[in-house]
Amino acid sequence: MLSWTRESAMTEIKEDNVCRTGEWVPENRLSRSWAKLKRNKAALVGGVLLLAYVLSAFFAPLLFPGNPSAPNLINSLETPTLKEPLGTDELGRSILGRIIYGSRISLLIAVGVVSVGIILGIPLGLVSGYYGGKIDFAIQRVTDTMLAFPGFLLALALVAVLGVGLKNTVISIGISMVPMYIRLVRGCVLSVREEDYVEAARAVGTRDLIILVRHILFWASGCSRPPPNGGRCSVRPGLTCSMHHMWRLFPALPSFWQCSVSTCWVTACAMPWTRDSKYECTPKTAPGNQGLARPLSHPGRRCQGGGWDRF
Amino acid sequence: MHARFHTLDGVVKAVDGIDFEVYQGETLGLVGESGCGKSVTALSILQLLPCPPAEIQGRILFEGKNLLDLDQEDVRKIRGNDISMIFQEPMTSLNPVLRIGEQISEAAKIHKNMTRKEAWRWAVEMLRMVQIPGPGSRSRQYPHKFSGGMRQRAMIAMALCCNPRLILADEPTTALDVTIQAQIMTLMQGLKDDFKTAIVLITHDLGVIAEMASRVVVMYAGKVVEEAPIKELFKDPRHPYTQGLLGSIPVIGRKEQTGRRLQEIPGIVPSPLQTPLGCRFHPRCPKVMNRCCDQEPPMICLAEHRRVSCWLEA
Repeated sequence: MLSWTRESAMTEIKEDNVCRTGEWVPENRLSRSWAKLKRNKAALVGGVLLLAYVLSAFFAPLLFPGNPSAPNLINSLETPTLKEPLGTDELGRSILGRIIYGSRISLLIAVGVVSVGIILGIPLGLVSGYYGGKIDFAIQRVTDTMLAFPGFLLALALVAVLGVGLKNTVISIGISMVPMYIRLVRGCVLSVREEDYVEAARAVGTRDLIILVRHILFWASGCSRPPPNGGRCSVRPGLTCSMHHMWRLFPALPSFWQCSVSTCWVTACAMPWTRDSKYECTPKTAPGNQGLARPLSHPGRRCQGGGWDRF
Repeated sequence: MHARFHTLDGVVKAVDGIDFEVYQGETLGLVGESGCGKSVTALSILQLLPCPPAEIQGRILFEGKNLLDLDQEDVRKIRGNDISMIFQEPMTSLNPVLRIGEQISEAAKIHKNMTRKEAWRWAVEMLRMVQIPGPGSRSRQYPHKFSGGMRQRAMIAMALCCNPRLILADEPTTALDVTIQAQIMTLMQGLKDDFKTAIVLITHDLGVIAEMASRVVVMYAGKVVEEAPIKELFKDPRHPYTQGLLGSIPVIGRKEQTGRRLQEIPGIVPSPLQTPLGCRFHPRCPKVMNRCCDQEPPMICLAEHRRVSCWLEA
């Protein structure tokens, strides 16, 4: 009894409050995540950019009062001034305002597309991987067919069938992403399905659905967390370039902005591969357990790797 | 009972016609080398083997009911509630992303219709019962904070959660070091006496068997070769395979006493794809006779729960 008490007391101190370097680690999970994030500068920069992007889209009416689509021909093609930091386009509309409002649509499409992909892709991938056999075969052959088309072409074809519009754009791009999610989730499920604890869960009489959600999806979700890729959703109806070189630059800015955000995000997740392992606090670390993914990740989880590069 | 696997290389008869009984409150040892079909036997009882490729035939009677006749839903209700299993690998049999308490309370939630809170309280009680210090705070931790012995205790708590009548313990101590082994064994013995649970103890460690079991079934290549009460098995092993197993236990000072070195059984367990004709043990048997090579020996009953399958006894 004595040795157990001592052992447990020691683990308590070692694992909860001090990491291997002897640094004090906060008790609270949130502040611990923040401490981890602070160490990774690339992740921090990416996170701040992303946050700024999301916040500006959310608070667009506060940042830019007025209608970004209302033409004001008197002020057309103005050079940047204090009032119009990025100038105006050929119809005299503020380019900054249009960028800010444009990001709303971008984000909306991004969230919508990923949601469609997840809602359709994850259940299908789970079922396909867990049950195998005929169901797996059927789902995978349909997936093969969908993957045979280039993603963009598939989305375009779907738009041609469904018609244009924000909703149809989201649906068609979302559907074109479904096969990727199916494959990704199925792969994760296949690697987790044979784990002993899944068998142990079955041995205590757990239902299949609960096993799928609690024991497999929880684990696989570490690998399938989709990067909110800004660059992927640069469908911005109505943003046209003027003839002037300078004006051509500014509408391109959101794309640049998105690219930088997404690049930083990806970098943030890629960077820690090269990181010094002396900072590690969790006992077992694997590629997927790091970067922005790390502070967000689960304390006991070791990702099975290969999450990001599958995209 | 038979368990076959249909594979691309042919039909693997992992378990080929075995029969044994377990009584209430009894510990039955199931012994044999690696690859004898011990684990397949346990998994077949709970029907945890994927079918196909596995095909299980025969009868598995539990309190008069044939488990093989039940549909999936009924089997699921029995798993964890009436029959539960302790797995070999405590390190991988717990889900690393769920708290210990959550995993133990799962069975209680499923079978005893407890609410989340009740089940959690029950899980803490179970952890206390398996002598984990500070069960309240421990139940909120994740498996990576548990040592091997503690994880195995947690697995035992999980198995005992619904107070099952039969526990299938598949090498519960193999992955643990010797001192922890002894603790776990004592613990299981105590819990067995408290709960009147029957245990099927699957192991290749005859020391553990001697400590725990009251009766032993020896398996070889998917068949039962000998069954005996524990004392008789150690005193008077009849089957050459059992003799070989007992001879391969190291005993300090044996060489000085008997002049013999530690014995081994030459060769390995035959692949279940190509089982030898006649007695399955004959290619490795030191006492092999002519008819062992082409005729399968009958099961010879010597007394109640004392039987052996060998031509030497015929």
